[in-house]
Amino acid sequence: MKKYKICGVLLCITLAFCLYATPFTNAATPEEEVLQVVSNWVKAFNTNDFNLMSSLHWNSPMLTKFGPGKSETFLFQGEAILANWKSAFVDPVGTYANSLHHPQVTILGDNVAIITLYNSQTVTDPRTKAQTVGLYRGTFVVQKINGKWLIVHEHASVLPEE
Amino acid sequence: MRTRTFVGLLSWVCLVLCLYVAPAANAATAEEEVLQVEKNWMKSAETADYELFSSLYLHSPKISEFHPGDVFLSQGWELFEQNWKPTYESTQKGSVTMSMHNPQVTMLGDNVAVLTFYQIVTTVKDQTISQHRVTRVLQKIDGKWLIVHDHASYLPTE
Repeated sequence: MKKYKICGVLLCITLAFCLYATPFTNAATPEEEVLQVVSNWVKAFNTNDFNLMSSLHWNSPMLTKFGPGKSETFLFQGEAILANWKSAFVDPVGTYANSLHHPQVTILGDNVAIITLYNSQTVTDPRTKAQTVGLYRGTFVVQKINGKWLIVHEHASVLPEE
Repeated sequence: MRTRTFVGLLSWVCLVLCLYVAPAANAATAEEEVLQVEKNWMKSAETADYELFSSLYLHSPKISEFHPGDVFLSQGWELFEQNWKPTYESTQKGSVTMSMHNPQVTMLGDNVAVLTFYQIVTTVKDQTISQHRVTRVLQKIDGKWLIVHDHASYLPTE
């Protein structure tokens, strides 16, 4: 009888330990979750995946963006940002090849984070195959809304010449 | 006795109404408080007031800035101080004028805000104009809005 009791207690302890350890080993940290947003951003950009790009953004008129190009001099807001992505994705896949460097995450409170990074972008002309390289600095502000990190503001600018 | 009860009740109603209305009339909205930080930033630049400038930022290793003319990200208050203090000390009061255009505040919860605007800096002596697009991220810490990230860039030319 005593043996059974010891076995029962031992099993309970093992089960409790398993329940405690399992989610912890699988759960991503907030920093990792936030970095996943920019990994998906670059994936969507490089593969012309509008649905993925759209899913990364806050669906709100309060969404804002300063883009790096002359056509994006003024602040884009809400649906205009997604419309701009849609028009960029008309170009064939492979036109834009982005690679992100030195992403850094700063968590503000429970549900807002800032990501700063550099983006090296190669644009291949679909017709002539001529390539141009642009270097950009980027700030993304993301907010966790209904359990999902979403881009609420982006500021991209050309890397100044030294 | 009935009149006294009625007057007493009326006084209570008036008092409650006054308490309800009075703070709303004086308190600034969160958006106004955030804009005030930027107004103070401009004032600090125009009056070369480094102490004021310093008081607007979170003094922490986590703050960061993309300055229009700098290639790399400045991180941490110590680096901010190294970059900005000499600039303020070498600038004469009244040598630049600043203006903010089309400011927009996006509140992300109660304690974080994103401010976007266009900034025009004019050098008084030779009337040189510099135009920037600015993003500031502010966090309310111990009841005070402080800048935690800046990204300022020249207007794109290409």
